Amino acid sequence: MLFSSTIFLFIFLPLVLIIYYGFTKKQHTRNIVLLISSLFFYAWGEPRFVLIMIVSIGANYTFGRLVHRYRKQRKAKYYLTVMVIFNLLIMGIFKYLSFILENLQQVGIWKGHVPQIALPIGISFFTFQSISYVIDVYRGQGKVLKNPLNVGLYIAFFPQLIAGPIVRYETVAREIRRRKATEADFASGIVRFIIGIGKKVLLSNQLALVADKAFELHQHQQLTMGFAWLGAISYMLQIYFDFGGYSDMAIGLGRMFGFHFNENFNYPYAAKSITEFWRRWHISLSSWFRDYVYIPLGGNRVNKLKQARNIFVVWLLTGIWHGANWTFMVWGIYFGILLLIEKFTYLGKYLERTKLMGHIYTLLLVLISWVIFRADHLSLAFSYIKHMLGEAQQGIVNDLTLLYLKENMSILIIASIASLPFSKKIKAWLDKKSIGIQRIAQFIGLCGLAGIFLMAIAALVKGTYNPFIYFNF
Amino acid sequence: MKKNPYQRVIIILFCTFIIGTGIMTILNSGQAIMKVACTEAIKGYKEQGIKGLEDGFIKGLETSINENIVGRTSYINLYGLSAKWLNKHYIQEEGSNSVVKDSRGHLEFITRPVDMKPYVEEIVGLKPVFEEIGSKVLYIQTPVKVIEDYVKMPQGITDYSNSNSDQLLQELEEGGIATLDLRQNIKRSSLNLDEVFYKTDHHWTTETAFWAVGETKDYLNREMDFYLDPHNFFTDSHNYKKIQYKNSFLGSQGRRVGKYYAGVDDYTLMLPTFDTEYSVKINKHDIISETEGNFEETLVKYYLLRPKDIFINRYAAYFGADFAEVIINNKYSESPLKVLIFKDSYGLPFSAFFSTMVAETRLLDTRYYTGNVEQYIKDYQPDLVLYVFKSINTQT
Repeated sequence: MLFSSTIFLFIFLPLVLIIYYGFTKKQHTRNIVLLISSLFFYAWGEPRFVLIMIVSIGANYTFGRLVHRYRKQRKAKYYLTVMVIFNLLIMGIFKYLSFILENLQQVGIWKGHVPQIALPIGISFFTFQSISYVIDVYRGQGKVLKNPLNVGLYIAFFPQLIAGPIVRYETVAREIRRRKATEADFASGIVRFIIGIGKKVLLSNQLALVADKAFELHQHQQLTMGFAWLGAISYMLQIYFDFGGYSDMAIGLGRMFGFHFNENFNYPYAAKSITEFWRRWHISLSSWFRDYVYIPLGGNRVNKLKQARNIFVVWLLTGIWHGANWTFMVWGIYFGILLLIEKFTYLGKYLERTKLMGHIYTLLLVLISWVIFRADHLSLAFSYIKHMLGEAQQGIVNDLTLLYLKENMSILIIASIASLPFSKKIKAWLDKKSIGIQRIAQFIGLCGLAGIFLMAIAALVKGTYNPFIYFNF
Repeated sequence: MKKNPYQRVIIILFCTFIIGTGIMTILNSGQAIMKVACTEAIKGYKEQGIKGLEDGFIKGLETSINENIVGRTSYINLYGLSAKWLNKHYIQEEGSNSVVKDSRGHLEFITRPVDMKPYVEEIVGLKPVFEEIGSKVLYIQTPVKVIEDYVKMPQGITDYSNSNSDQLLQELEEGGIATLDLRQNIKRSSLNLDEVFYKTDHHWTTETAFWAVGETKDYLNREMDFYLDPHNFFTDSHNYKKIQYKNSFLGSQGRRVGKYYAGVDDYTLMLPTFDTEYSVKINKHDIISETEGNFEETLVKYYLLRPKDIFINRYAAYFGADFAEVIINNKYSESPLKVLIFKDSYGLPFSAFFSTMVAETRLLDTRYYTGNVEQYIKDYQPDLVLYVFKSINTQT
């Protein structure tokens, strides 16, 4: 089920809210309500995969208990290792097996049949959350959950189940057992949810039409240089508002039920270096890799060669996490190399000093990365980049390029402005003003929010294009 | 968020809105929603077993909730308004339903290039049958909304409706089928080209369809030796009363973008002022309906005209919809001719007016008719066969 769908907005969410707040005040019962709702939510798209989810919950509950019981003993590490293998194996079978066999088949090692395995939605997210739970219990960063239903709620909680953010167990460990959604939480959750749905439906979905057209034209060898840039920029904004919008909705929904998830995005396109970009983009994933891979490998406390190795490993894994395609691996390695360059050369310091150059440099390199990320194959990615650099046989612009530019100019401008922290600055400016002015501004803001919500619903009711990029991961 | 007086207001408004919309939708359309979901589930099960059942139910439910949501038309209006604010001329939709605003501010669908050969072969293939039973055949190409040298699509959008029709007509002529290209006639006519089509629909107006009947009659009499309406009585608009429904109609494109994007159309109903006596039989798949009475009583469906909802398809006021087969017997006809009309939706008002001139008119819509067309022709033995299409490849 998509958050950006009328069935979610007007049937599922109201029902869950009514049952959650209207029928019980006991924390335990409320957790059960949320767990059942979450499993129903997950089963909506692919009912059979809910079994995998239940197996994963059961297994990780057991691993958590075992790791907790033998925490001070060697056995704990043994169970920890088995847990990691178990989780990665499930993810590996569904996500990577076909890809691996396909490649082995191409080099003649595998002669058998390559099975086409359907991917359970959100498997990468809930696998990482499961691992986080057991490791945090092992590290003592969160109490072990004695009730398997609570483990189920942590892993399967519907707001973050399908496309993150990857909620670390330590973040919500206390709230699973004891939480209270205040009026302020609920209201701010609503505001956040509406902002998210606006980003997703009004911006991302519109930009998706341009980006998809560009990549379609490219496949048909009808892409002009201008359209190549337009498509790449549109995709750059699309993916931000798609994933960022989804994260906003997830954070907002979490707050409505008293959960406080960490931020997942912090205006990444305002970054002045790739290092800074990754501190602002998909924060929950990069911090997961930092805490569960990079630091255990030695992090920065080892010699430069090993540091470089650690960075490389983390970014290769980041690429692989995103999908079973060489494009994702190259994308991860691309960022790994850029981060290494920034870390071990003068470039990093130079970028800190030259803000404008830093912005341009970051945006251009990130733009290139999204082309690699979006393309179906590596050869198509490189060919697309060549089109951007002037190798387009169709010339610089044609009527179609102008049409798409003209038709989407307003959305591109709005999206570009919204991707930069102007609203943060306006808020900071308003905070210094009198209460009266703040109230007026809040009222105007709320009217705008109501407008955004209604327009988003209008687009959903109309049945406009509604893809969700991160569902594939 | 700091504690402020708006917090409670936000919560109350949001919850009331989503809960209220959900309840109202279920109360108003719960049965219809479940019916669609179950139908889709059964259809899915028949095609793909259990997987199809699940997918069909979920898809059916999601789609029907979307289509039955309370206030749906207001949301569509809002969508169109926002598109207008953003100065959009090209509203993209999946499939072939993208809406384009042309140089006059009228709405268009985009026609893609189509290979017309299979359609030509189908018609030409029936030629021996027509010859065997002595039926004369005429393919009537209706005007298309993107009138050549008059209507311009936005830069970058190419419409192929004219080139498709050109190819079709040329190949039909080569196959020995007579054609009447009303696209040319309309440019020579005294009609105001801005008013020959609805601005929010791809169909011709009632008046244009009436004009087309006159043009067809003239052609048949002049080129094919018929003797239809020799006194120009049935094709004289003065013998009809016009009832105008002002600002009452959003056409196929208009219904996708609402009333603010390109405005609302007027709909005109034309009714004969002379005496008529009809019996009409409509084959709606498994149900056959029969009515007797005058033109108005048998052909006009007022349930599509009386409600004030502008989203109702008033264009189908003649006959009510496209049906597999319609048989019209005109008891006061001066001509004994039997006419078979193969049609798409353009044929609805056209056939209604054409029926005033002949004894029997049959409409066959091959999108819905599942019988053997060749056998049908042999059994019926029409004097005249007309093909009335805007685009013969249209499947919806």
